[in-house]
Amino acid sequence: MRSTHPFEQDEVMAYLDGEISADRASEIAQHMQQCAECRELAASFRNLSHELAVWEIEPSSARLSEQMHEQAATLADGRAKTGSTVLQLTPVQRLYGAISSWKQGRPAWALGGALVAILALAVGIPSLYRNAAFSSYVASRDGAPFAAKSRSAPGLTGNVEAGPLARSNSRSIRSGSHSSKYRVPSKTSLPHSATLFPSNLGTPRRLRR
Amino acid sequence: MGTSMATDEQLILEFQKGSREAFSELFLRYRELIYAFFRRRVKDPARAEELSQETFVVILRAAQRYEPRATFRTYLFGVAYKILANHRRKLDQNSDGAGLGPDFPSPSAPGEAENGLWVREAIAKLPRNDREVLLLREYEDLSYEEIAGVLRVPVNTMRSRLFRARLALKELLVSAPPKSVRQENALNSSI
Repeated sequence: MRSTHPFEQDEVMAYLDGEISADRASEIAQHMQQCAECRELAASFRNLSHELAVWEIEPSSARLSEQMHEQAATLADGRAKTGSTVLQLTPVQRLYGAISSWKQGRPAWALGGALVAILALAVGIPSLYRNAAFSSYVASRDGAPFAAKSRSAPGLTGNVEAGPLARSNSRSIRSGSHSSKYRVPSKTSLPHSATLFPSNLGTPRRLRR
Repeated sequence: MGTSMATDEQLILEFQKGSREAFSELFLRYRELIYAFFRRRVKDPARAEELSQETFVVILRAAQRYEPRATFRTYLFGVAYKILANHRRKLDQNSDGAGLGPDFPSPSAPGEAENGLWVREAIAKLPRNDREVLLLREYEDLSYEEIAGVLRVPVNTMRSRLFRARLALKELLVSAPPKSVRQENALNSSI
């Protein structure tokens, strides 16, 4: 088709549908005067539309109109009471509207949503990781020197002991008959999630009497 | 300017300012089109009415968010199409998802006029995406740009689908003419 016609077939269809620029339409019209094949194609599409027209739909019932007028009246009453032309929407409707607006191509919504999601991940994942590590640390303290166990908890060692702040805030404790050196991290050297376990901090079981 | 002379876009903007007449006029203009939209895609007439009502309720409630970036028809049929998609999704969850979809008007629905049966049969055989484009063009009379807006596809994609659908439908209708034609042909051949 491309080799013998200056137009694609779907362009001829678009011409018939009135969906083509005036210049292009003029060219296609001229071509069709000389091209029997394109005229045949055009005729077949016209016939198709005529054939499809036989599928008719019965009118809607009066109930649809009645119900819609009721809905409109109810809404208008609500607006009159609030004295506002702004419709009162439920949260679900607002969400639906927001999604609809986004789907209608508001890149700001998409960008904002993506940024929030990235921020949530950036904050949330390390926090979860630290929580898991801290839980491991709390569990691991039982029955073994903390310093030794703490190194077995991934992440916690880095947070508690790796940084200079952690080191400077560590203190040595000698307790009773035990000569072992325990390094107890201060609160400032712990992850923020440590505040979820304030009673466990600074009072390891080995120090209780 | 009277509401009957106003464009759709003017009417929806008037409705945003509180004009009930504007909405009534829009409803009058599109009631049958929207009902027919659902009726051609949904088996049950009562369900088609419910979905039509749902569409206008969404328009009614969300009118404040309408912005005249696209035509009102694109907006309206876009809402209708979303509601239809939700309806189909619910139905698909209760079916195996194969074939036409469980709710496409049955070619042999009782009480239907004989006219159009073969057309429905042929349309039902088209792939769903192609069928939607064809229906929106032939029955809802939307422009290419409006159809692309409703279906959220590029205009060229939509045009290719329409072309493919028309060619396929042409073949289907040639191979399966209406019963009256078939009977006539049979009569002629027997003479």
